[in-house]
Amino acid sequence: MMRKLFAPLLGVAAAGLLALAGAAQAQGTIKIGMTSALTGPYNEFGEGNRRGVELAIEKWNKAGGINGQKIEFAMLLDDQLIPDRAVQNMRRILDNKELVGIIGPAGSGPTLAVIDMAVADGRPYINPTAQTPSIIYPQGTDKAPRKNVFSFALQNDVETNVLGSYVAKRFKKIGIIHESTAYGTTAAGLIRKEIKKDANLEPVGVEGYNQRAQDMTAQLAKLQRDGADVVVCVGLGADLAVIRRNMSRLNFTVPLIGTNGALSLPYQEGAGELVLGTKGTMVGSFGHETLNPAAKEFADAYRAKYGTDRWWGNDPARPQVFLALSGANAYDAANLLFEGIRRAKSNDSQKIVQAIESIKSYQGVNALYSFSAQRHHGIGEDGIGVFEYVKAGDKIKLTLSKD
Amino acid sequence: MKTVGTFLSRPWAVLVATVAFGAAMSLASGATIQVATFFLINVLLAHSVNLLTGFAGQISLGHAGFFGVGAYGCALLMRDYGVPLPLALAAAAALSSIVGYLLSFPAGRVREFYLAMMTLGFGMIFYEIAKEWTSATGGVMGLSGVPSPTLRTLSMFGVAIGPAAYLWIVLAIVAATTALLRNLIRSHFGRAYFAVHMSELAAGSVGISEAATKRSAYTLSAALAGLAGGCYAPLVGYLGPDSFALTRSVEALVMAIVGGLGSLPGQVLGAALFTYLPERLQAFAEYQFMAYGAILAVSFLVLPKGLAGVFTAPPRFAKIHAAALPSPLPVREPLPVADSPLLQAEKITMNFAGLLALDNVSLQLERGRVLALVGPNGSGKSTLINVISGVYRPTMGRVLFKGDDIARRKAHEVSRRGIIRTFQDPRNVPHFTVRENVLLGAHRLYRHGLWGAASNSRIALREEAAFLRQVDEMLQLAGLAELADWVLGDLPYGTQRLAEVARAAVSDPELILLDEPAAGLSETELEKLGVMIRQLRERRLGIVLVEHHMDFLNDLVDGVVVLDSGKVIYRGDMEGMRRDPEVAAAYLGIAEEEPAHA
Repeated sequence: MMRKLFAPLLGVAAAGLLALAGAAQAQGTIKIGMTSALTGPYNEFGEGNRRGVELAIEKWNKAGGINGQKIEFAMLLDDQLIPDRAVQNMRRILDNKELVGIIGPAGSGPTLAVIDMAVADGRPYINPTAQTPSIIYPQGTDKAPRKNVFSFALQNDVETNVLGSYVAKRFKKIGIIHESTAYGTTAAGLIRKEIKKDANLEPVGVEGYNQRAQDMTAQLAKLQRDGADVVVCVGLGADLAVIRRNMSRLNFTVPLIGTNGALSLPYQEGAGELVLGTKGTMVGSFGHETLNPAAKEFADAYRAKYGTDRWWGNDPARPQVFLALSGANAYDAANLLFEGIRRAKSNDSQKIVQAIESIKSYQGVNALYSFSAQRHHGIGEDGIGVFEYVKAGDKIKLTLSKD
Repeated sequence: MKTVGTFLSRPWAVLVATVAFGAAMSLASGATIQVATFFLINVLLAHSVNLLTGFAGQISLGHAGFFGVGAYGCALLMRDYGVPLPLALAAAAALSSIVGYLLSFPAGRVREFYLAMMTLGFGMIFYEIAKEWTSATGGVMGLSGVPSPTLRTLSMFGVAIGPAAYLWIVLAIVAATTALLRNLIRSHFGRAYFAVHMSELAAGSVGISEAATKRSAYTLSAALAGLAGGCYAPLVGYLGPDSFALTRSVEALVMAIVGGLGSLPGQVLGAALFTYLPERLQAFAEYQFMAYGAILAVSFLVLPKGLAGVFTAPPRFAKIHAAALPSPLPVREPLPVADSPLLQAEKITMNFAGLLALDNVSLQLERGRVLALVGPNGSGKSTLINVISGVYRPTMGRVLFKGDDIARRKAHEVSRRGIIRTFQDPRNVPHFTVRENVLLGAHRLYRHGLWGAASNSRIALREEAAFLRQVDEMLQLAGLAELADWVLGDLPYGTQRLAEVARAAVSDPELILLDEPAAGLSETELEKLGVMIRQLRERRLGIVLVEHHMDFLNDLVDGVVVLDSGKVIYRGDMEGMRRDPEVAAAYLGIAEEEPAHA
């Protein structure tokens, strides 16, 4: 019985090893590889990224490929956002010398774990999702980027700059509340710097909280006592919901403005009706009344292939705002990689990297992309919008803030 | 399958297989080498869990914490202080073992579910510290720039270490660790882990300190996990807190359980399965979690003893091969002729929340005498044995052993002084052989230390040999010689009883307390028991015998104490007891109808 059970199991393992060793592939295609969270709790991003890349490949292949060569999605591995798995997958990808370009994992942890390997290898590496600026700029955002790494994520510093200058223009007594993580603390510092620069203001209070805390009344009461006329929050949607409910209980009625967590489903679920009036920063591509041509092309292609599913959202007419970071980002990433290969007219890593650096004002879904030897991140402050929850009939919807 | 496993358990076969594995891997691709190194690290981690959970029986849901302490420790030492790899690995193991030692104090106070919750808490605390202590661990941003063989930034004594060389280093560490563990498990240390695991009461009765044994298990287990973490840090070259979250602890536990708790080769199999399985399961795409879960659920049904149960023979816990070594039997000093009594119990009162189990009981015993303790059920006989052997602390009264009051000592301290007992219900380690169980009795006499046991030093082997031969003699006397290598749990009740008495005899006590040793024995077994007790008396031991079997007592005992409802109602010889009206009323009249009971 046990033997019967185990023989096939070992067989599968052995066959897998053999397949790995003798991966014979079709000649004459341009091959790319990717590891992402295709399954598991974070597959929202990983699966979305895969779809984005596939749509880009279909688009290019329909138009005849790159300089006559078809693109092949030669390796697609699942890391479930587990760093060890990502490291093993990246090793397998880097071992495959036929791959021309590499697309990395869908989060900062695994990306930081694989990034040094990718840099040592030297082939063009695309970061579709991970927000940490040090992935691109290890010595700080004003220093040189990692030479072969390009990002299509919404970088933390870009987001906080937008948030900071938005509140600096509109409020005098700014209260900041942030999660006590590296992300939260750094972001709070950046916002503080931004309002100092723009309006020469100091925040009236800066408070921290632990992720998943169930009560933040103490911190909020302090900001209320300090006379804050706005609360700026850096954190996850679920925590923001607690903050919003606590504010309501304290009868603290000033505006609440958050990072992109404010636009996430956990916030909407946790805060219910209270979301009305909350504002948050996000890539603006799907918030405009008329979509830009690239965004429209992507949206049409997505709906044609995958339908109006949970990535698309509730409104069949237009995709939800979040699709910008759970699909469109990878679509842009792949398109720009292919454009670089096209311009390089070569599979040589260095030439492709230089070609991507030469791209200026390329219209993608999420931004008008311009790169250079110093700038390796795609989405700048101009690509970000401030969204607001408003009432439309008896439904609540998100629109780009007008003021 | 098992023959293959048995063949592979020979040391030279393992060595050849290990070298072959290393050689095959060095020729493989980079990804294969890397996965193989992950596998080796998982073997260390599984060994660590197995030592604590499989051997010592202490469940842990916080092993990621130990693993993380080793990983961050090694990474920081190498990156910031330029410590060479071997020293950094040693430091990682040492650092983690300190944490394990400290954790063993609170952990020793709780059991089972509470222990699981506590270790879970430890894991969570470590995870939070790794996330928040930004200046040391890099916080959520993690720790980059650890010298790594994959990035070609690792060198040792000026020589660059690539992925293949690193694999060989980790392979050597794993092979050496496994060999040391194997020796350790077959020594009195390994037997002590199991004894504490199976019955803390029995462990105490042969002089094994439950607390000290658990502490050593925690310390060693943490050192192994720290070593695994130390090997992990350079392999990846980056440490983030997510690598040390709860899932890592659970994975480690699952590897050890599916591999086969208590088996060393099982850990290798478990680590192999769970290193390669997730990669293979990618073929199931979105169903891989389900497939993983199904494999887990089913494996416990079809493989109750884990993979080791299918592929390998059950592990053994004595160095039987050492028995042939020449070594003199320890000379038994003839016990001195007593001028003072060996044992004096004075006015013992034991009050269980109002129930008076012993009421002002006194007794006295000289060397070389056999005292019977009789009385109806519930009269306090076993309670008195428990008080003398340190299981209970008496409410009032003194127990003088060779003039020292031992009434409030712990059980293992009492037995180390030379008072050994057996139980009314035999308490053995069921999956030990008869020989291993009896050898457990000699625990308090062993003199060689942890390193001697793990490295199979000359002294350690000779000591083991001496006790093995003593055990053989005792088994001969008990009529158990032919059953010596049978697993005791599979043998009949009478054999288990005799083995327990033999275990007590091997520990070379001065006073032996036998709680109903004759219950459930056949006629031939009774005879053997009588021979053993007479031999103990000839060695001038003091013997206390709780027994209902009057014919058995008749020609064996020198005196009788009869208890009824916690009070002494008779003291004297057997003949006088039979004529005593009070005894007859309380006990003897009904004893004839009462079946011998366990």
